[in-house]
Amino acid sequence: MKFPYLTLPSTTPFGRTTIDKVPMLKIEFKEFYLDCMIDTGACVSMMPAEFGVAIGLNINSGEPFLVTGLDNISIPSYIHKVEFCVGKILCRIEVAFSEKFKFPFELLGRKDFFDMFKIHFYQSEGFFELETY
Amino acid sequence: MAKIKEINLTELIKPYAKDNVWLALNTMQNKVLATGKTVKEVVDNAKKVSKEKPVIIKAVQNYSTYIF
Repeated sequence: MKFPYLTLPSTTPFGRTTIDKVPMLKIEFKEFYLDCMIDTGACVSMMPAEFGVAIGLNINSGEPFLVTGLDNISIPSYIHKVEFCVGKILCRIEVAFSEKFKFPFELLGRKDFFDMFKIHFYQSEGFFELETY
Repeated sequence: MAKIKEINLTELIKPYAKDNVWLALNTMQNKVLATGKTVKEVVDNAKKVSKEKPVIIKAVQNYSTYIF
């Protein structure tokens, strides 16, 4: 399955608008799709807690997990198994949900998701490809 | 090989970027169906205006200075 990179804007501190092409995958839940970034640097998939609530999870009932970022600060999260579809493929992966997660992207990280798919990036051509094992 | 159609959200997001709101886009991701301050709110607002299953994304001013 091939998917396009999303082109997204950014405004520099000097007011100039730049663009960035991001490998964002549209994953499907019961009531909505969610654009998530495929992140080879993330050990686990991660989303803001409010997404977990929106799909009916009791966030604090998950397994506690500390996620450490670039600044070496750990933020608390709770791991849940989450189901969604990519095209017609049903995925069931671990996702860490956190109230402290404030990035503009939800992340699809290595655990489980990268075990399900071979992922090929063709950035200069503007697409990426998922292939099941 | 068929070319994959580019999805450029630059113009779509620009009017909402300063507000830091959630957006509900149509499935083709070329139209904003609704906005909301929370995920639940944006999903509920989208249901009021469309039967289409929305695509949820956060509108922010800056997407490219993050390293995860």
